[in-house]
Amino acid sequence: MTINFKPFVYIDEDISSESLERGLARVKSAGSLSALILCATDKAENCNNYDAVLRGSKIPVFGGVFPQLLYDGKRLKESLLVLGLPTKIDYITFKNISKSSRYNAATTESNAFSAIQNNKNFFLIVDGLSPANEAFIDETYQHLGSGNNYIGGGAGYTNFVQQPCIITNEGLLADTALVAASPWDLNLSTCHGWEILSGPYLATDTENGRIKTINYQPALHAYKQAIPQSTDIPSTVDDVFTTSTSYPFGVQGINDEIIVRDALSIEGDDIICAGEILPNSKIYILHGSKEKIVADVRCSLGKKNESENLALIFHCISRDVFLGDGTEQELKLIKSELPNCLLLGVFSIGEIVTGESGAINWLNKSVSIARLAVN
Amino acid sequence: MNSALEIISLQHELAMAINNELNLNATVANFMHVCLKRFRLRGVHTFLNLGESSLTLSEPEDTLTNLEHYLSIPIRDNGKQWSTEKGLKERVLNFASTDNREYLIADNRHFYFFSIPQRGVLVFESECIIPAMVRLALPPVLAKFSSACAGRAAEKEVFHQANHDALTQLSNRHKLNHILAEVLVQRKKDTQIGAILFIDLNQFKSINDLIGHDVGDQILKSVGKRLVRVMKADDLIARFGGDEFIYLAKSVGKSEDEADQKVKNIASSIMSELTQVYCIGESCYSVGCSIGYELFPRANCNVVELIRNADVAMYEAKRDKSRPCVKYSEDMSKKLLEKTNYTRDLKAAISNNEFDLHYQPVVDKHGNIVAAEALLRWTREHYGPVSPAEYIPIAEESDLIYQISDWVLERVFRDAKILYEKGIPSYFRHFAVNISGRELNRDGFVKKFIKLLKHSDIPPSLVSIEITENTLINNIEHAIEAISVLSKMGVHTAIDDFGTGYSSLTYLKKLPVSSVKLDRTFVSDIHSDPDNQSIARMVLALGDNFGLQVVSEGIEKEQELNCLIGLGFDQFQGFYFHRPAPISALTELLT
Repeated sequence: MTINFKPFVYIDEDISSESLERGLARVKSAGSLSALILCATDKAENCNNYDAVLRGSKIPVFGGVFPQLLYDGKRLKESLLVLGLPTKIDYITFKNISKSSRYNAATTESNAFSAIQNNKNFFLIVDGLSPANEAFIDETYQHLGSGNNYIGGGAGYTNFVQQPCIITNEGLLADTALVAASPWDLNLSTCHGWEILSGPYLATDTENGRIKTINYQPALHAYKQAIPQSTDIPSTVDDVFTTSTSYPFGVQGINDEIIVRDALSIEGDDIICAGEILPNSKIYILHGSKEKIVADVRCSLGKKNESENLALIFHCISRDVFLGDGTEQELKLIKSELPNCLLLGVFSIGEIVTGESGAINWLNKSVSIARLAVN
Repeated sequence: MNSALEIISLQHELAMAINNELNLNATVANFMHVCLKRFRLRGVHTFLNLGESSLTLSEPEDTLTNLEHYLSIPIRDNGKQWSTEKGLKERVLNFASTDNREYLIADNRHFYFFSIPQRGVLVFESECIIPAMVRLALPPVLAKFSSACAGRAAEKEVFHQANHDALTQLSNRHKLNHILAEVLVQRKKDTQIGAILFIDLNQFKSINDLIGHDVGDQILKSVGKRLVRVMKADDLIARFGGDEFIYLAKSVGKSEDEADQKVKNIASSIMSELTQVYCIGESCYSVGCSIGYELFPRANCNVVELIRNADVAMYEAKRDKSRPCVKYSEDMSKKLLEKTNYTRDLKAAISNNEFDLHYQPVVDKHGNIVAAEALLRWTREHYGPVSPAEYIPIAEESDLIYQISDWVLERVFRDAKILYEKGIPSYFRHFAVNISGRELNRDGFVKKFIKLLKHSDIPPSLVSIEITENTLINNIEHAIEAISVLSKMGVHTAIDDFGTGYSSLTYLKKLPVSSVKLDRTFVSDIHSDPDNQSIARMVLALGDNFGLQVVSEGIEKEQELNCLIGLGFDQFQGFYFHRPAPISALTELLT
């Protein structure tokens, strides 16, 4: 490592506003010019008093509240992590993203992104439970463009109720997204390791994340028929999530890239997924072995750079549910592959990363990593 | 599921994407977005065969020679805007001319070109090879996309026409109303103040009428361009109609003082632009403007009322030439309402028979009635008798003065005929009728006068027209011409209120008038006022020199009469002798 991160990192199991204030004071006294704040909790009320502290911050602060955190290869529950950064980070906050009109901005240059549009590396943190987060990242791509590196994830709470979870200088916000310009190049990698079990099927009627019919049959009926008979047949909201943990959907693109989509719940015969499924998409039922999935991480990391000293990880919470103990194994593997990097990150509700096509993808059940040489 | 089904499904979705939006931009953007997502592209670009403006598509042509970049998703690549990327356009033009369907360039980026039949080219940019079978799915969809583009372009043009003035290309009244309604709602929610400036050109009507509509139209176009030059971003300028324009300043501050200052700055910029000369062909023209403005939101004030208030303020600015930009106040509306009601009643007075003519005799020094001046009387319903000094100026602001004048002439000629047929004394010379300057200068007045006179079948010498000095000098050449025609027929002409205007001996000599009437202001208490006596002497001398009869009017006292007789006057009019009275009273006096 070319930088000693210790003075710049504040970690505490106390996630109160007082702790947040202490953390910010700590990193600021170390000379930080901005701060990434990551908080883990399953109760939004634990962060009730954050607003005053965040609004009072003299340096730019950004981040989110996630189900869990990762630090130095270990899992942190109910914790607060403040990472001071030696550079002022510019970021833009987009509020009420579910109320903004989709695609309208596509025809003109948007002023909304002008403050950061000359950068090439971006962090995106969105409300993982906002129905518009994919539309938002589409719009971000439309304006900031191709040839850039994007990474990020969905913040939120595991009760799947949309509540304030995006950390900004304006306070803790819901239905919000932020795009921060990274002054450091992002070396990106992502993988999911899932394989095709059956299919293809045609998602014949969909609406955003809702699959209404598969091969012209009611979606739930078709899903029940497609998964192995030994699996418990989903009939309630919890069941479908549990079943989907082992048998998620995969959406195949023209270039054969498969994007995983978790099923979150059912409504009647409709299946609600954690991410958009376009009408007439070619979809598969996926399965995976923990060994294969973990092993894939090694392959995805690709070429390493000795100067990289920080790895920011967005690890899907549903991947963690599936891997169980395998997650620790996966984190150890990442740590062993990136010995020079300080590993920190989050268990997220959906991941955001530049895809194989160059556009930004919204992913489920993946682990996405950005390596940086912070100096 | 086989590949064919997948291709058909893909086509189906792309086709559905075409129908989602109602305008060209949204149609193209939506289709491109679906392409980007479904084909997992890095980017997608459209080049369209544009017409003269980006508003319309050119007519379909066999060769796509006018291709212009229309839209790229994403907008940027490696920080640069695609619209400025010449390399891509060159490849598109190359495709259009050679039908070379595929390029592979650096960084493993593949570019695929698809013809949008007769309309343009669609470009896919991908980081992987798109299978040939998948690419074959596109042409049938692109044929539909082409039709949709043409249809949407037409719709957009219709939409544009519905919202813009055809001459100036500024927004029209319809769009103004729509935008103003939206802004008004917004201003009611926030703490900002908006403003609406009503701009009316001065002297434009004269140019339009005298020089021609072609020149008028050119000036209006220039005015539109000049207004756009001063328009701030987000504001709106509309042609409201004729030579009226509206500037909508959506936000001019939070306090009324700040808003007033900003509006004045805008108005100052507008006036500075509009008052510069307009050179059309070899001639140059000057057109000023009057501006009225109103701030909003105001309690219970809607779009129509806002515009009306600004319009009212504009009229105030037009009236008061020392204030070219005037802010609306409620007093203006009250005055306007009163005036409107007054005008309405005045108009109704003609049909309701509320007008009447009284005659005030002119006598000679022997007391003989030598003439009678017809004076209009209006008894306004619910208000009683109204002074002509009150309603004539209002009637003169509209065409009502012509209707009233017609009525007066007809009535005077009718009364004169009745008396003439009954037999009038030999010393009685004429019936005098007052003619307004506006009426005298009206095209066709002389012809109409002669027609009525002939119709009444009375000798022209039995009629005298009285014209005030002030109105004469407004268009002296025309007045001389009109009076000359009537004089030659034998009609007498008198200059009324003589001494109060800006008499010029030059024009007095040219005017074929037969008498002047010394204004009453010089008669009042003349016996004790040496100045008035001097003026009266001068007028009398002037009359002698030009061979004009001099009548003194407004005599109310015996001392005044004696003084005037002493000075040499021999014809008099005033309450001292006779008050104005109905024709029946005059008939009794004369028969």
